[in-house]
Amino acid sequence: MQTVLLISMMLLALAIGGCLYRVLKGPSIADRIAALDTIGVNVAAEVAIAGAYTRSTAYFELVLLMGILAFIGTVALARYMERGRVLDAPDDSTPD
Amino acid sequence: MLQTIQLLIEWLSVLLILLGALLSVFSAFGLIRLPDVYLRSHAATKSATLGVLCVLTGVFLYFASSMQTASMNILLGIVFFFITAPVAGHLNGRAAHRSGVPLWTGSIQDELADAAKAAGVPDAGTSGAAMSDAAKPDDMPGEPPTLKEPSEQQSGRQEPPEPKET
Repeated sequence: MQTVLLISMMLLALAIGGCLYRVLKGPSIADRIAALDTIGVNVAAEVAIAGAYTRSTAYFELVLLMGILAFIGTVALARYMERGRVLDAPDDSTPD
Repeated sequence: MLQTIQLLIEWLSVLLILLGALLSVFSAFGLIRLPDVYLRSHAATKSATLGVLCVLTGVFLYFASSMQTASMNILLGIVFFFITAPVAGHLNGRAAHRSGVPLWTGSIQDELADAAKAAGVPDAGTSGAAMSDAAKPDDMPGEPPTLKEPSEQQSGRQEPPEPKET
């Protein structure tokens, strides 16, 4: 059972490596953002498997934290790519 | 009897974890091989989400059966990933389309550009000036298409000094 968990962790590391290739090579910024989002999701899964492998519940906050960080990072980067800034001022209403 | 059921659930959870890891590998494979941002986000969003949901469900079952602890963090994580991954993919795709990332040359339909044209909204999508900057979506090592600089900005900056001199 531990062996299967170890194999799953290796597969996830392989997936993270593939996403890293797309981050480094990707022709547009949107490619890099999508790959970074996938890396964040995969890291969360990897941390969850590490918790099951070491039989400790100490890692589980990190799963939720990685999910939230990946989502917020993706939203901020996408908004930055779309409008050139992350936060809109409330009174400056530029038409998109 | 109870021992057998517990062992069965543990093996089921471990198989779920393995299935999730395999789905993540397939998603990374699609992220590498597909030719376009929009097709790649198809791979990156859906199968990666299913993979991480399988992994988290497997870990939850593993801890519930072997250590008798039901972790609320894992359940919250499942719900959170299920909600946020499509939102992030949609935002990323819309931002890519609006900032003029070109479609793959084999794409036959662009409904967002058609809708923007019908509504009269200026959309950089496929008919913008950014198309000439980054013509080919793939096979361009490390050269991101520049975010669309408005070309009126330069001419607008050059004009104001003239009225001051006269």
